[in-house]
Amino acid sequence: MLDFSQILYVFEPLNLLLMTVGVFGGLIVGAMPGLTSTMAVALLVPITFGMTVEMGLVLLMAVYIGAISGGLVSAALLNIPGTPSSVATTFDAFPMAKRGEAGKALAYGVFASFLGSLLSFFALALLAPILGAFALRFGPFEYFALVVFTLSCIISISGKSQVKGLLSACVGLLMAMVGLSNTDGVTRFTFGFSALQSGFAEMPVLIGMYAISQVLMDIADIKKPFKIISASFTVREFCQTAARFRHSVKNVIRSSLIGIGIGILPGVGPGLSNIVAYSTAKSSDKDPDSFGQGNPDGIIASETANNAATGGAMIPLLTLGIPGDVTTMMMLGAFMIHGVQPGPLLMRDHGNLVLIILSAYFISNILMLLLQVYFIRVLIKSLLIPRFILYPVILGLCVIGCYALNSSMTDVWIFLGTGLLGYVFTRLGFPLLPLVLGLLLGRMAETQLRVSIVMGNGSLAGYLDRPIALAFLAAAALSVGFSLYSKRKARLRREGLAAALASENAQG
Amino acid sequence: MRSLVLMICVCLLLGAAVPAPAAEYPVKPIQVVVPWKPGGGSDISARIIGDHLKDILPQPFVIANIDGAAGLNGALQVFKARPDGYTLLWEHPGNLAVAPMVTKAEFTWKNFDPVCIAAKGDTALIVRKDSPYKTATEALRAIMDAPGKVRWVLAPNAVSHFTFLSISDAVGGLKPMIIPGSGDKDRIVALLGNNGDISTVGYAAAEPYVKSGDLRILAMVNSERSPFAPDIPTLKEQGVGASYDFLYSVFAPKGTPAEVKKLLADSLKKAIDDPATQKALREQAIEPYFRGLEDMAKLWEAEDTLYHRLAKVNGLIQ
Repeated sequence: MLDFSQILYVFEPLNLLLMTVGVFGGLIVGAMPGLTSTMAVALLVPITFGMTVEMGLVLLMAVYIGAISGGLVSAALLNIPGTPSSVATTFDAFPMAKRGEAGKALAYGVFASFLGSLLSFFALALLAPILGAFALRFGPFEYFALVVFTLSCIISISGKSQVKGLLSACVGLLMAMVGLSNTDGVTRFTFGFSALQSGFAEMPVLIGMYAISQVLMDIADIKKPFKIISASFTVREFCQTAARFRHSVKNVIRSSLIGIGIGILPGVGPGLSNIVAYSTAKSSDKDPDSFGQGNPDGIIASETANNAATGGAMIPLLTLGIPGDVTTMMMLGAFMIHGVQPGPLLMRDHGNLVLIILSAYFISNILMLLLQVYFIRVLIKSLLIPRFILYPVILGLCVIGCYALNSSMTDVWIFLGTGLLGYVFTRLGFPLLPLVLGLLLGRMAETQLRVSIVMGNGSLAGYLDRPIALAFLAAAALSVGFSLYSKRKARLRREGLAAALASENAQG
Repeated sequence: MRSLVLMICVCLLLGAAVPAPAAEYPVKPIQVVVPWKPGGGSDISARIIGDHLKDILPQPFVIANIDGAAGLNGALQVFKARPDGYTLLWEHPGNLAVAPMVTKAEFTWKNFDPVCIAAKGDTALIVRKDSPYKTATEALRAIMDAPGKVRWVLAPNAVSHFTFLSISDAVGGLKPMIIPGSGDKDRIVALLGNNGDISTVGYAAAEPYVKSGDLRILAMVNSERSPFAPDIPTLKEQGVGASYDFLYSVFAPKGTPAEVKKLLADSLKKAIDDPATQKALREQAIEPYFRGLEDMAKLWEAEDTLYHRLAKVNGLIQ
């Protein structure tokens, strides 16, 4: 029987202090461009070896929540997503911040993160075993279909030119093929550089593409400070923003479900959830064109989903001992070093530990919300720092972050190289997102497709008796069809409007 | 002012150029490269032994997880490191003897200096709970009777691949459907989700699933019965002449001074002989297993010969 008095453990002063420090530290690390939750947890795991297992897990949980939530900051204020999980946040949060409403953009993101975490907490606490079992139904067929579905979402959120978007995605897919192949262990496209054996890591490419290109693009007006309407963001304003959420209940619930659903799939994690949630929110909105211009619902969709995915990623970890993403993989290491083997028996043998983790998850989220409400004001002030000081600091942090990922200079060179590529892309009007997603998904798509073909005895026939996979593929086809149709309709409407205007002018 | 800065620079340069006397080794923390993500058997064995070394050596072991390219990324860093004893590599033969061979890397395990073997891990041949096979021989016979039907999950060109090849070699050739799956967890998930039928994984990783009844162990792949699963027979006992032992070994860059290697091996031996270390290792299903550098070179050589033969026979190398 579970001993619920264990929950009180989390409320011991020392643990509350640990969590506050953890969430705060996580927020700071997550907020700095280039430094990520993965890095924060990686740095902490060895430290927790010296603690009791309960204390270590409480601290790791707090840092994880803090860092994931902090990732919003650089995405919103600088247009630099610190992790793949906040890529979609930049679409609307940055335009909003650019308008001078940085505080509001952050407030939307913070509250959405909180709600996403809260909902996924309930999924974690109430449905974990059922959802964990569901995650096992995902084999190579389902994963490949899911990746195809996510790639289809790019079309609906990519910029004006479909062709440029596709080209960019192809470059990303090509980059994904560099290095040792997962399916047959053959080395590909390394051109004799042994440093490229492991291929292009996602993080340096992501950070390089966005950070360096953003910095280079801004060089022209580097002396101008950011536009800020209200530098003193009050608690009242935060509450007003939070009240605005009553119009977005559907969006919050839908995005959380997407986040939890994708989060529980081992290896997919929060990286995809925000893109899928964003594109779903966009296509189900009455006015899809307002997305990308600073629509609060865009921020809400992305941030709800990526935080919901953190709770989702904990589900396979706690029920099956399978980590959902890189960060939970390191937490697995923290369990194991204390002699706790996460697996199907964790709930039975270490039920108290699970309770402590759940409570820590819950409390950390509340601490995150409280800290962020006050944090926002400081963050807006940081935008007052002249950009010629801010940008070198950002680039420095990015270099440190890339090096720390794997203690290797290769990642730093990849960061710099892809940064220049990103700048060229931006100048030529190629969108960056398809490239990043191509790289992120390409490797998984290839591996899973090849495995599924092997399992189908050398053909694609295996897909026919996989209902989940078929459903995803159908959804992908529908999504592509729908977005092409609506884009065409919008173009026709514009052309019709122009023609009407022209004839009016001719008459007048 | 400028001349002062210049002078400081020159002093610093001179200071750096004067080598520290070797007798003082170690004067700074020793970096131990584990070429895998934190939390695996290599990482945990390195951390536990490193932790218990802190009373024996004046400087700590600092574990650096340099992941990627089937362990080659981390090995490359140690390959390029200065041979001063401050950078070490923590690897097992199923990897460092195999990966450079099949990927044609610029180095092999012979480009490193052996220091010692520190610990040993067990490997289990596993199936799902509802599998029709009760023993290893039953499973292997079924694979032989229906080629291409039974799905064997393995990581191509890595340990689990060569474990499969040596099992296949011992029974005269197996032709299962090969499902790629890298890492113990991936292979376990493939079995649990019915996307594979049989696989080999580290015993420590399989243990929780065996206890919960989701997986069954048909045989241990070790050369001798595992102290952690004394009831389960080895493959050899079931008449299949194949075995694999995870030998967690310590390497130094080529050309590391002999006295440094000796000091390291002696200190590691002291740490591994300590009952507290042994208890901590066994809790993770890792067996303390110290072997000096001569024994290590012999064991690795034997593994290397086997892998070369298997790779040649199966057309993985020319």
